[in-house]
Amino acid sequence: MSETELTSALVILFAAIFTNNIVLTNFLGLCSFLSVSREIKSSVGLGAAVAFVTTFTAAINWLIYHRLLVPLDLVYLRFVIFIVIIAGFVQFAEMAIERFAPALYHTLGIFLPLITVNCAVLGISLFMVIRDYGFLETVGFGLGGGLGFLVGIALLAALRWRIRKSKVPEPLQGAGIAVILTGIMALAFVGFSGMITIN
Amino acid sequence: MNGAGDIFKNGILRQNSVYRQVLGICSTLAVTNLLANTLVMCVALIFTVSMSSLTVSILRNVTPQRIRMMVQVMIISTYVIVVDLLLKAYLPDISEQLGPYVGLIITNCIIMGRAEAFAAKNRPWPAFLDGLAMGLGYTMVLMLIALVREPLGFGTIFGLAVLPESWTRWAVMAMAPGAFFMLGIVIWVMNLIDPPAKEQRS
Amino acid sequence: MKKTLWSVFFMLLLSCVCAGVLAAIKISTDDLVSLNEKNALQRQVLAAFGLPDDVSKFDSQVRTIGNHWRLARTGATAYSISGMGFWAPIHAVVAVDADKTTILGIRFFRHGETPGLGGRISEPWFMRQFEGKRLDAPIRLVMPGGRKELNDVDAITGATETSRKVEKLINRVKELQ
Repeated sequence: MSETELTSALVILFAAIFTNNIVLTNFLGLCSFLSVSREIKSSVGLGAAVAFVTTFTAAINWLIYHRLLVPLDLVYLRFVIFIVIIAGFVQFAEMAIERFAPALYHTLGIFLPLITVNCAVLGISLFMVIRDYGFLETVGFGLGGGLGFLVGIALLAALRWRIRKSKVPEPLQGAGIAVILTGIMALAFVGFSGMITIN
Repeated sequence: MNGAGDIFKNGILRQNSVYRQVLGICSTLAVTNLLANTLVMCVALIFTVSMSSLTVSILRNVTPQRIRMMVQVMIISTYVIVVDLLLKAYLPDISEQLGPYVGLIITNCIIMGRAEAFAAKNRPWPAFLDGLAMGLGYTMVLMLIALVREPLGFGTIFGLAVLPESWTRWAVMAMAPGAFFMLGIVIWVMNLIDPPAKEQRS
Repeated sequence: MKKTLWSVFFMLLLSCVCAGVLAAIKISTDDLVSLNEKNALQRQVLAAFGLPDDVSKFDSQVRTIGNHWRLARTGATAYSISGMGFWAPIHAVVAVDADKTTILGIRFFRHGETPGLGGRISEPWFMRQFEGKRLDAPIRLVMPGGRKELNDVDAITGATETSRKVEKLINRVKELQ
């Protein structure tokens, strides 16, 4: 664990939340992002759950990819293997949440197992392969990506609550205005770029 | 929903996956700033959703209920890998440009959604058509978004310059926010032209 | 119990069928893929030199010396360079003339930049800008539409960081001599 690798991991973590937010810059995780953001509490709950899943699945997938798939020349199977790992881990997370936070379990309902098909989760694993991150960097990236999702969805939920009394044109109600709000947020986050320079 | 015509009308217009159901945009919205990339992604998606729906439908009577989702995921991922392998072999440059977004077709909510909502309960041929229709509806909208984003953001259409050098490129269209705004506009316009039935409104 | 057994068996059977189909496709396309990769680098070198895209003539025209290539006919040299991009290393092949003063061509062929944004560095229009640029003065990437000096090239709209990294990379070429 060299110092430069730790620094690099921290930079990647911050970058993944702000300058390269998984939802607002990379467009991943939109489906649940738009549906769950109607309510602040479930948004924060889902965001936390996603962050939990992304951190661990990124780490596990890194290990499997670099210690198993690469040596055995089975790299082309990574899509299937990654999604199976994610499905398994989400199942495990579901059981843990049901046990330790039953209120959250009931609030999230079907959206908990749907984390499996959340593009953001699989996306983080795929990106870490492409960008050739080390193990520590992957953990930073997984955590940062998940937190970025949490920040994004919490903000959107807050925004939607704010405009709940506004007169939104009928064709735009619901998904339409949510998408536009997301666009404005994405624009705001673009302002973060340049904040972090990775050497 | 019986005739092929009905299925197509439903998939492309009434229940369009992008502006009605707002599903499955994750994986492709990212590449809508270039028409060529969008086209390849959409073709890949049409292939995957129609073949997956077909396969899920064929297996629907033998698939054990409890592992339904896992089976669907396995089928979908297999087709996506097929696409990925074929792209790497025959279109390596585009494959490199699209990067991880091809793999992300697996998590595309449309495919899972249709597999669960339609293919699992219908015969193979209608299921195949439904997948095809959904894919086409999706392609239509995304190509439309790309048709606005690429010229405004880069001054080109399919890589060919269509606007003069002096045109100030709209960076916002080349970057993420542009896609969100375009999507919002498309939803707005399509809901004006063809208002959803009362029960469908979220 | 019987239901669970059937479920497990079904999954296993399905996995085998899927794995079999994938392995079959992989094997049949494997040769094509490795041929693509071997040719890819050679094609980059040819393109950087401005030669026609014909790998079969590679060995007759280009001499491979260690980690760089020399074009027998003109004495031009091509180097493989790489530097950190915004997200992942950027690999490029850059060809310079025999006097080592001017860039003949550059090809960015491997990078992890955002598709459609930083990823556009591998598009022909971007790479063509570097042809004829001198190495004795710094090469700058400037915002499109602004005023351009002789040794300036257009950066990519919306990809400031990637453009910056490319600028850093390109100005390291003169250190290679």
